[in-house]
Amino acid sequence: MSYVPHTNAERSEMLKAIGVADMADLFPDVPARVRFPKLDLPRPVSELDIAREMRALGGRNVAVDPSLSFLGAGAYHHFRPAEVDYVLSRGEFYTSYTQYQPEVSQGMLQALFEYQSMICRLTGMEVSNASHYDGATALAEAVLLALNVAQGKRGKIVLSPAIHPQYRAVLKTYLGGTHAATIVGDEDASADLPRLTSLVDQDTAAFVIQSPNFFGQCEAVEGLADAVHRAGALLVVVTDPIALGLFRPPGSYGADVVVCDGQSLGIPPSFGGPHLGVFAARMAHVRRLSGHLVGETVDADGRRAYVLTLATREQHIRRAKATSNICTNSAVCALGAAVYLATMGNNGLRQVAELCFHKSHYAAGAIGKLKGFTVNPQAPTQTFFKEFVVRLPHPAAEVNRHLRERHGIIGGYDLGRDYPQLRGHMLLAVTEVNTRASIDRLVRALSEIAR
Amino acid sequence: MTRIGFLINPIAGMGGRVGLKGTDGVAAEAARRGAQPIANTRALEALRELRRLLEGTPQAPDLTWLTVSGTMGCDALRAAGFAAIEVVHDAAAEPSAQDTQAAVRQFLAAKVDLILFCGGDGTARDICGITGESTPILGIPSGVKMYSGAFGVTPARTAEILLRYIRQEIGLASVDIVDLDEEKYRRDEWAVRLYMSARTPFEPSYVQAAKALIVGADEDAVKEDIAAQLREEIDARPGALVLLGPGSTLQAVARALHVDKTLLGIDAIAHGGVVGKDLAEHQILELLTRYGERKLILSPIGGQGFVLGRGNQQLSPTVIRKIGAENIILIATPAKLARTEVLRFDTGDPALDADLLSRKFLPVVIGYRRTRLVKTAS
Amino acid sequence: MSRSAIPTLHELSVPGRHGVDLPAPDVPMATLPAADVRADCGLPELSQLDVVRHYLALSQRNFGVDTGFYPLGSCTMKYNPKVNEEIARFPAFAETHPLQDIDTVQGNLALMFELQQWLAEIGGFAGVSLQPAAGAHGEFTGLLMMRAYHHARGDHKRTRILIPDSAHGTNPASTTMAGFTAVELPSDERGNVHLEAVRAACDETVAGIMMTNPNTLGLFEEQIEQVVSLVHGCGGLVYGDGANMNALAGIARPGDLGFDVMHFNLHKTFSTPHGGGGPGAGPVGVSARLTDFLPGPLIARDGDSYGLAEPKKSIGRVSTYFGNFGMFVRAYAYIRRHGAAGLRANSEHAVLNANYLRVKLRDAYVVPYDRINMHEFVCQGAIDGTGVRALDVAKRLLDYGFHPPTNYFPLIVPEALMIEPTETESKPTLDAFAAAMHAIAQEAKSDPTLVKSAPHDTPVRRVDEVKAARELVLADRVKVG
Repeated sequence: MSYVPHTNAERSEMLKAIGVADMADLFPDVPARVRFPKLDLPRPVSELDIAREMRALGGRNVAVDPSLSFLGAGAYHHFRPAEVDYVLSRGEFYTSYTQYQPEVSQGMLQALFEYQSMICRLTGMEVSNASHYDGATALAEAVLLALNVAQGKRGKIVLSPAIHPQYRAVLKTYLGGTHAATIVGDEDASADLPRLTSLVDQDTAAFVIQSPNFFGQCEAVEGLADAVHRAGALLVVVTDPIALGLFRPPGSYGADVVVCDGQSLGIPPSFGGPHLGVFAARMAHVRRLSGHLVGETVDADGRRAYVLTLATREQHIRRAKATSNICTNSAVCALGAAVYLATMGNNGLRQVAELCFHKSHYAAGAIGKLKGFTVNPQAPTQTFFKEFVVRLPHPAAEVNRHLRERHGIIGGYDLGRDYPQLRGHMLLAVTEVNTRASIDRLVRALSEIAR
Repeated sequence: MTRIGFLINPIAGMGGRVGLKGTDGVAAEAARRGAQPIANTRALEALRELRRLLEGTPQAPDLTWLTVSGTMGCDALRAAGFAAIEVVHDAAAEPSAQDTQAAVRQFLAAKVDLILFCGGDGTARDICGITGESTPILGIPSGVKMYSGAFGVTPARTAEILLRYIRQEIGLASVDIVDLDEEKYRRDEWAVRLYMSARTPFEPSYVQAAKALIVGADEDAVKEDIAAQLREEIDARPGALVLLGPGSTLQAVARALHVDKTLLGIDAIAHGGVVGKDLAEHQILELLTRYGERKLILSPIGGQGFVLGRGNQQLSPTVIRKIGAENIILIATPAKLARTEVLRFDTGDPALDADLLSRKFLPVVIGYRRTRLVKTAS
Repeated sequence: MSRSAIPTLHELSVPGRHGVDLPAPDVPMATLPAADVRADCGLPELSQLDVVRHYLALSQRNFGVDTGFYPLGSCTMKYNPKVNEEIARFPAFAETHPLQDIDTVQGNLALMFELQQWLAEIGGFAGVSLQPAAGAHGEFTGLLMMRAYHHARGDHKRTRILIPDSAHGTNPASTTMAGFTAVELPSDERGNVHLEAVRAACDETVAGIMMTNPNTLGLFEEQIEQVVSLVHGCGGLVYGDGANMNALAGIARPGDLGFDVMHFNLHKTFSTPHGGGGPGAGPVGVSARLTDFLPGPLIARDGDSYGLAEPKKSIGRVSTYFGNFGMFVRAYAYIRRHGAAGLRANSEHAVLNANYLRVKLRDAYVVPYDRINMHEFVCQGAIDGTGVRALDVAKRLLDYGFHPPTNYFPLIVPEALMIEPTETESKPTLDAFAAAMHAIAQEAKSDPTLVKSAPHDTPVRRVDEVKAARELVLADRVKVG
């Protein structure tokens, strides 16, 4: 057995040194009635065969050609420069633990410091942590931060229904435990921004929107921060990291906290995880931030060095009713995102974002001309990015089956699953990996079932 | 450059070995029984340890000592090998509390950073009576009885704490300076009296801020956490009478509850406001007749876990009975509990004590939504 | 090795330098909304070679399991099989989208279903949810399920969770976060949770107890069955912190001992890499009385095909999609490689290695509970009479090329060093580590300054943490305000 390196001779020597006769004697405190259970697990597979067996398991999935996939809704197929995986394959990085011994962890610490820096510039904020698990838990943390800022004196969260449904579900599970806040706004799926803004009052701790929202539309954010701040609440914005390559960042229009999922930054969809929770905020809130923070300092010889800092925040965070236990993160994914941002650079990220913009508009334009298909019916003139809504002539499941079985295309997300009034509507995503040819193929395939 | 005021109470600790409890007022008797002064030995132990630690420490701090002549400090410092010594007071041929007090006044005038002393509770009381909380103090233990919170556990540990404080690795906390009623103590009665509070370098309890990352908990922050918990409990019982007991922990917690409380006094809250300050026994009894629901919040005093001792004039056995043992809420910071292995009750009423101690473990509030079960003394 | 600072990306950046260039759009261009478009993103401008050299240089200043011995207690820093890294990157897994129609991802669902089954089998549980993304996340999930269970029975009085004072700090934090009060219980002289304290604490206000078994002293709780019985007896539930499963897989099943819910750490026991702080995965296993409350969706099997099932009284989602699928692939491959006998052998060798180190070190470092331990043990890192403390020993170990053990935890042992070697370390490595520890104990006596000013041979020396917290610099020359 190669995983355990011991030879027979070594094992005997060690048992002798410990003073027991054999391995079973190492478990005297385990009650006899439960000791050494017979586990019903399949017979082991050798090192020679494991890859083949796993490949066969993966083969039971239908093979995905990312250029023929138009499915988004929070996870995306994007271009991944090869440099990302090159760096993520370095064992010095991925087999390390959290950087509690900074003297031998300067590599990850500096990489995460640089990640924090780039996230700040991208989002227009002043401080970023070194990641959360995913966008949904980052949002939950943002809401907890707002409740802490209000020191428990405000108990209302105004939540836009146009935020990713699963993010809202996770947030509600989190707040369910503490009765720290009530959520209003998202029970009415048709509520628009002016209506939601009217719900903000002196009891509101945070006003939460997503832009571009779950439907791909850019919300009308002008003047929003002023209204929210006048009521003494915080503006929390969920966004898309690729959109930040093109559009004014939330920091520029008054957001107090910005969160998103960073999976689009060089991390594969990987059936939903691991992804990357991005969290950035104004410096005023730094002591209420959860998650790790990497700071710059010097060592005993005056050399520049990096270290995890402000660890005692955790205590303060524990004090209020709305507390957090999140301290693990998605560090290696943050590293991957940093490599992506460094490799793409100012120029490259802008190019990716423009491609997503133009291609999604091209697709929307062509589909909108098909009989029976309406694009963005609820907001036909609003700016959109990377995704758009299509009202279909047939149920979404039928449309997707047609696309897949006849054309090998993965269609968009069935919005009826989360929004009852959007039955028969689909959310389509188009990114830089969808070629013109594949978009044309999609349009042709849809035209076959147009009315 | 750190300036430390240093003094030894030469007769502290003489009583113990010859069967006397404490030396206040009985120094002559102790000497007659052949007692040897031990304070000097303890002081030397601590000072020598300090020197050794300084030698083994990179970038060791510069220390200057201000002290008293002869056996009250200078001799021990020289014997331990320190050179930067300034004698600010000449002691009398037979040193007494007056010398201690005179020396402390000199230390304060010279604005020392800390006063290191070797003695017992009596010495601590003499020093604090003059310094209050203005200057931190730290005691090398040598007396027979050490109930105040300002002492290291051993002379060697005291040296370590001092060095860590000078190097700004640990901070200060408020501790209770207590004294036993000597007379009663000699009659086997534990009349622990709270005298005042002082600031001392304090080894924090550690908390796990994150996996594998341990940081020192800030005492003041922990007291605020406790206050937050009490706030919730008080708000949940708006019609209840809540009595706040004595001690530095209660005082800090009361402050966080916006109640300006004295160290020794018993204050009362009801209906969201203060209904009594510095209450005497009869006032407490009167209040108790007017409120059905009542709570008494107490914290162990000093370093030996005493929650209730004899001679407490306000919280007499009658008062405790009227309140009901089940209505006592105990609070303490984890750092305090680290040195308090058991909780003690000695009210003078054996039946009441038995009742209070009947549960082998009592819950103590140590933070927001955190309590700990602590053993009671048998 | 060079000790000079590695320039940051922004310091290396030169305006106009391009990394990857993407092609011009192959579609007609739409009109950009000029008012909403930003001038630039503020990202650095580097060539691809710049980026590669930069990160390679950084990697050479980082220590992982692949670099050397990494005995962090309760972290299980064991070998991360490279074949699993290859497998997780198969496009068949990596390129699947979580919202695809389930008939197109039957392979993924089969993998997850079997992993649910295997974890249930290993832990002795009736049901498993893979959704929580980390251990602390799993704890929180478990606590929410416990509350939901009591509420479903109409019992709203249970507001307390009992926690031994040796517990991981996340336990009381998760407890408070879930709206409970944490009641800390002392340990007895043998390092077990104090049975009398458990007895005194158990009443109808107790929702449950959180136990780590073996505990953070590396000791199997000698009275675990009585503790479980007392808590169940007063109507409470038993939560298991599965961080120490590396001692128990194949040796004993927490479910058989009466645990009602436990989180597994796939990044510990099941060999998925720690990634410098994540991502991990914290699936939870439950006994029959809690299966209805698991976070959904779960994977269910219907004949030959797999689908999703929502537990009847689910507490709701705790993660998006299915959780950290990429880590499921690795854990699945690990279990598949070893089988039942292999898992048991791994645990046995983890325990063998820990006991071997204990006997090798106990002459130089005080071991407060000096008896057969499990996969980890605790010794005191302070050398009496020298002023050398656990922190100093840890830093000096870096000079010997080892990563230090966990310092100052568990909190109940002063100057603690918590040492977990894991099963993948060989005897020569353990002997070298023990030799280094002995050498340091000697140095503490003969040359304490050397130890107290360590490390000397690392890329940076001890860092100024006070300055880092006092003068916050959390981003590279980002304009504030």
